[in-house]
Amino acid sequence: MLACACASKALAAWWPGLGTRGWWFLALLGLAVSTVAVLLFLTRGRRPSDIAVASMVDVRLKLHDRLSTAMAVAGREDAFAAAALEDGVRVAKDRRLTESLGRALPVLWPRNSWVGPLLCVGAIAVWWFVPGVSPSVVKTVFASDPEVAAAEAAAQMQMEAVQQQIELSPELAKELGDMASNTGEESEPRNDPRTPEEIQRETARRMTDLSQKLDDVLSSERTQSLSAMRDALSKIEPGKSPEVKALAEALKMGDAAAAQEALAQMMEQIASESMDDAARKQMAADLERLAQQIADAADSNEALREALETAGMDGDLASNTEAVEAALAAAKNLNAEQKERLRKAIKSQKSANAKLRKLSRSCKSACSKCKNGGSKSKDGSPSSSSEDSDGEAGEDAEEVLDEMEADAELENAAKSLRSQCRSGQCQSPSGGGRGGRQGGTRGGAIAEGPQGDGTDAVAAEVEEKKSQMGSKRKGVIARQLVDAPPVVGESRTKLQEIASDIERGYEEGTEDDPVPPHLRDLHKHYFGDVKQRIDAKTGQTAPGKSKP
Amino acid sequence: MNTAEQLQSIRTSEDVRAASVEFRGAAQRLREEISRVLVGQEQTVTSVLVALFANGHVLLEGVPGLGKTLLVRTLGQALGLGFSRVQFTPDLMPADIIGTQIVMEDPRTGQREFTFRPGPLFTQILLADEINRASPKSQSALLEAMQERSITVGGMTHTLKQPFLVLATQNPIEQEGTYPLPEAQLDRFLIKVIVPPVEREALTEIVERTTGVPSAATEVKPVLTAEQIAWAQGLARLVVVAPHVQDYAVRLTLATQPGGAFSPPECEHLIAVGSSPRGAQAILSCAKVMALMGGRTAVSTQDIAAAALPALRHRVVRSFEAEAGGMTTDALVQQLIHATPAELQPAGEAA
Repeated sequence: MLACACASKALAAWWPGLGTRGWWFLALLGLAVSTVAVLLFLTRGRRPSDIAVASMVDVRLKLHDRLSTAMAVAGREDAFAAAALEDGVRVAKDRRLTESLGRALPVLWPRNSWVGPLLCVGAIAVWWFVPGVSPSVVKTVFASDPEVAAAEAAAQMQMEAVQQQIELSPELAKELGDMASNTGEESEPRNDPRTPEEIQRETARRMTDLSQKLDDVLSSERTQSLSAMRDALSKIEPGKSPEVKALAEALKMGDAAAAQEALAQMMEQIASESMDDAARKQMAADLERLAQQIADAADSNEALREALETAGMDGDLASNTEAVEAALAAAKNLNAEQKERLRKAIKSQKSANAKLRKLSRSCKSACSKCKNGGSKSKDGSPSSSSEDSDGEAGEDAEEVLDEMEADAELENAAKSLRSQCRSGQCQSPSGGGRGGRQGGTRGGAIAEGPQGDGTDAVAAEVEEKKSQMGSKRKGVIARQLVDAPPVVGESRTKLQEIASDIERGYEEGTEDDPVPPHLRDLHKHYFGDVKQRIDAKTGQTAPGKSKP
Repeated sequence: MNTAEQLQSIRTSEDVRAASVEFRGAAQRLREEISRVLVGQEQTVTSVLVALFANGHVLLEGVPGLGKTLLVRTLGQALGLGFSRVQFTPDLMPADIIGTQIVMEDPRTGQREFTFRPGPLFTQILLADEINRASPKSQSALLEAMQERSITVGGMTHTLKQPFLVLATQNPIEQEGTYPLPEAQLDRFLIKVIVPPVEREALTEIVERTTGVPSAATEVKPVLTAEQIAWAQGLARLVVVAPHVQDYAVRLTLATQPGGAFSPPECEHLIAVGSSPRGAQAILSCAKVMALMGGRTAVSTQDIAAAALPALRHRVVRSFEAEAGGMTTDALVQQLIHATPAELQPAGEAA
């Protein structure tokens, strides 16, 4: 019972969802009783028989075995057995027998029989008077370990830094959704004691999960569309007009913010009356050429073409997305992942083309406005139709550039955060609490102070970066904020998630093949197709395929 | 109504009690008749009566002059049975005991033929006085008669009259020129009775009786017939023995077997040869008579323990260690009885 009481108290404290401690006590008490019953059942053969007990009474009371003989011959029918039975019954009914029985067979308790009741009293005392062990108390006791506390503080600091980084980019926070909130704090408090190594592994696992999601963001349709637009705009030629040239160069560099500024200046210049006709004609010609280049870039489908050629398909199919879809459906040398990647590239290309055409139309609209002399009416006031056209052109272009800027911000933030996550996986967060180098100048500032001050310093720095971003509308790339010793111990990352990386790294490190492992399939398909084409062209057959 | 019919008529517990009372009365009459001649020796007389009703032979051992011969002779007179006495001497021959074939001539025809002349063995109560003074050849002449109650001479088997009781005496001293009884011969005796020295009061009365004028009161009359003895012997065999009581006798007998499962460790090295199964038979036979003589209808473990000593003392051979240590057979058997629990023991469990 004492063991039951202690066990039930521990179970009730550690697993309160299973019921009240009274229920547990009763259950364990029932278990104890059942155990005793089973033991009694198993030892029933050792209990002396009735005749043995009677024989013992006969011997102790010198009854000449009358009782035991009567019991033994009770089933017999001969006269002597009947006489023995009557004799035994007569002796058993004698009052003197019951009186002397107590003296002859006194009830003697076992020598250590007091131990049992004492244990029962102890069990009841433990059950009713000893307070239950609360998980929080145990957690506090375990948490009092300085190494565990330091590891938890470092992990919390790292997660807070990541959270701050996510909050810096609304687009990224929007893409990550509620995942961002989950990475900041633990989803639910854990009651079991943890070691510093377990805390580090848990942090590394969270970083790995976030990094994978960031990979998904960077390979999403938005970022690929942005990449396609950049590729398309990278080949445009700037005009002679300074305003158009600034716009074209900004577009060529993929700097959406600069392009917006240049667009605003150009539209202001167009609307102004100070520009002479020659300059206006030059600007109109440049805008017309720029619009044409953007339209041509949209039609070129360079990104899709490159993706198709990388996948070993005909790049000319990029001009016809329906043909690409049909080719993908018929392609047997591509796996599902490659096909999905190409379909995503098609969508991205379509999105990029739509934006480029929209931008091209804006440029054309600006060109026509420029040709019309800043949309001035004959009385010198701007016409309402021209004003509307000017407004549409500016709004469309600004809308495209806004989207482009948002996509760029998302891409930069995702890349930055992914870099931070990957660097955090390889470094122990516990190092921050020990004053180790945190990486860069920021890390040093964090490491100098106590843990709480370090967290505050990170928060203050992030706030500062937020304010800078808000004023200059520049994307802030948060660099490596946490530096710590490598995480050691058992990895919780699923093996199948990192198996391809392990295999690739092994092959790259052990083989001399100049072709990278991830391009070998493409290399094989490409040259395999070339060989088939050459064979078809020359009419030769491969030696292995020749018929006997 | 013969003996068998009388025994079959006992059908109820009341009949059993009546028969038990009659048995006790017969034993008491016989005891009183013997006590008219033999002074003292009550325990010896009781043991001899137990052997008589158990239909077994008795070996009486005691120094000379304790009344062994007188006891047997008086018993023979009190029972009204045929009585013979054989004084065993070293030159005693078996034919002197059993009988011999002699040549007889028919007076009418003058034809001669061998005719068997019975020896003293053809009786009902035989006193084999100082049996250990005869040669083993003569001692062995009693074997068939004691076990089979019959004698084979010249190819013919002669059945002895019932009851047949051999009471042999031997002197534990004066061992020079004696032939100790072999184990096979000893085993034929149901019990061995040690005749103790007489006590002061008994000796005083003996002196008064034997040195004065003989009185008619010392004459012994028969008080039991052969049929009554046969009935008593048959009644004793009907006495109930509970299985656990019988098991006590068996365990006691097995306890005398050195190295056996029931042999007490403290006695094992003191015994050279243990009892034969005849030991258990003797214990139970005597215990039944003791129960009847005690007024009970069932044997108790106390009866078994009481019968064990006279029934086993001549069946246990001491080891050299016991003899060298001065331990008597009686002490050894008493130790065995003390070491064997009387309570019911689980089957297969050693004592």
